Amino acid sequence: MNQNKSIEVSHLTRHYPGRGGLVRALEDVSFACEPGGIYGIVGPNGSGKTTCLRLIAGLLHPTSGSVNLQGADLSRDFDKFREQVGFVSCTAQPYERLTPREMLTFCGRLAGLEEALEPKINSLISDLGITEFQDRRCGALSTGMRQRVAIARALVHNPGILIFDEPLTGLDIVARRSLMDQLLELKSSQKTLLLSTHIPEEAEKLCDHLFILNQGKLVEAGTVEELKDKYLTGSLENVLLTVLTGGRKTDGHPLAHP
Amino acid sequence: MNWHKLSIISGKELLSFSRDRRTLCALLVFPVLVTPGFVYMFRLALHNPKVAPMLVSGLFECLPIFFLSLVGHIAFEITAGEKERGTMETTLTLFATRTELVLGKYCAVVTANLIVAAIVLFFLLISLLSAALVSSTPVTWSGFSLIGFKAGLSYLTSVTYFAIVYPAILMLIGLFARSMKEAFSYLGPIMLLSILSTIAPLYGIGLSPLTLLVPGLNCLLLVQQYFNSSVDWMDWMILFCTGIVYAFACLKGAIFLIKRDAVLNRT
Repeated sequence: MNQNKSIEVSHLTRHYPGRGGLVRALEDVSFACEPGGIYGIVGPNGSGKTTCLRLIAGLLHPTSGSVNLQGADLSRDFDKFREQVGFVSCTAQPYERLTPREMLTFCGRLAGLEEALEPKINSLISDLGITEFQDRRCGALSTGMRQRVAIARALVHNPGILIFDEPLTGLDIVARRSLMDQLLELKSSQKTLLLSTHIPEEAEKLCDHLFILNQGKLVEAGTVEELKDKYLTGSLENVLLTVLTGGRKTDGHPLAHP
Repeated sequence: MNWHKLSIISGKELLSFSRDRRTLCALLVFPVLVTPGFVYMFRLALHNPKVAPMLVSGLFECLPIFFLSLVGHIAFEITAGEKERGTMETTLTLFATRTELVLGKYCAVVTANLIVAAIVLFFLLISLLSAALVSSTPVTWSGFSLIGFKAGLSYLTSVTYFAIVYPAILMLIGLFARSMKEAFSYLGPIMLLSILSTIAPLYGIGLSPLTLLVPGLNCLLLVQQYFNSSVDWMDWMILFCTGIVYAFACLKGAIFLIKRDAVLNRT
């Protein structure tokens, strides 16, 4: 176990019973993330990205393998990990009948922040552009607004690790750009960001390092440049297509490398 | 166990209930609709002390069924409803253990149940006063006061018992079900059992060591026996001890269910 790694995943495996037999959602996945970087898990739908992130966030239990967060074994020190991790998912909704401010207050009070809470919330509301709708109920907010509230909620206790499950899904072009800028700002504050996406452009713009998952297995890993060099292509999309389809287009013809 | 966290969680749930139009409607519709019935019944009871115990005990037997339907709505909103709306994932990432989450929500449902009981009590008192005011003949208060104390104690007993037991059962069902619709489909048979419990004495079923162990039925039979004659204090003890045991078992089940990975599955 390396104390310098903020996230260390070893032989992570997750199986669950399905209708047609055992579903191998994740199979022997190992990787590590260092502080101050944006790491991306990319892969097609159903490749195990969400399962992997939920396992790292402690929402699911692994069939085997382990997750270490800043040196603490998640399975042994479950409560300690809560202080270290902020989790944002495109499927996790905010509480409809609370306003963003009330929601942040609720999460902050549960995290034990009492006196320092009000300034922290004010700063998050201002930094993430929530001021305009801070007193509107979350049920009446748009997808982009909800996503900002979700990020503020994840940041309220100032965690060192942030996990985002497809954070840009469903956002329009303006909200997408705004959120991408905010994610890049978080990187500069020495936090470790681990996010999942199935869109190569997003991964290319945001991530320093990529882990490519396919059918629950880690099939490739490296920086964006390393992967491009390895597959002799200038586009991450072609790298992904080569890795995921074995170098063939969906029509069966070989990929042309630009 | 962090009690401060439980109070924060239950406070948030109560705030959510207070902003839910459907919950507020359900809370007020029943007392408002049945108030004329209460007035009519109290008029009969005030002028005829002989039938008063039967009328009042009958009323208290019906109330738990009302509590069951309303508390069911509230309990399912914060369990199966959270799965349906996609907020369960948010809840599970909060700074609270899953045991604290279940107990915090349970406290909120118990509090909501007691608030409902207080509202119903308010409407009962209004009905009683209205019955006295609209009465054309002088009211026999002496006859009514004889059952006043018994009525109060019975109401307190049934409200406390059902406030402990029902929310725990409903939380268990709500966490087992994947949607509100599924949860409500399980509520039907429980309501049927409650209705059957109210008419059990018609079939010769009375308070016995065996019936004292049957949740719901034991409380209704005990209240009825208390109105007609008297009840041993040991029976009250057994009633509340078994109630606490059932509630504890259901909460253990609910905690087990919320710890399962399947709790994240949405409909």
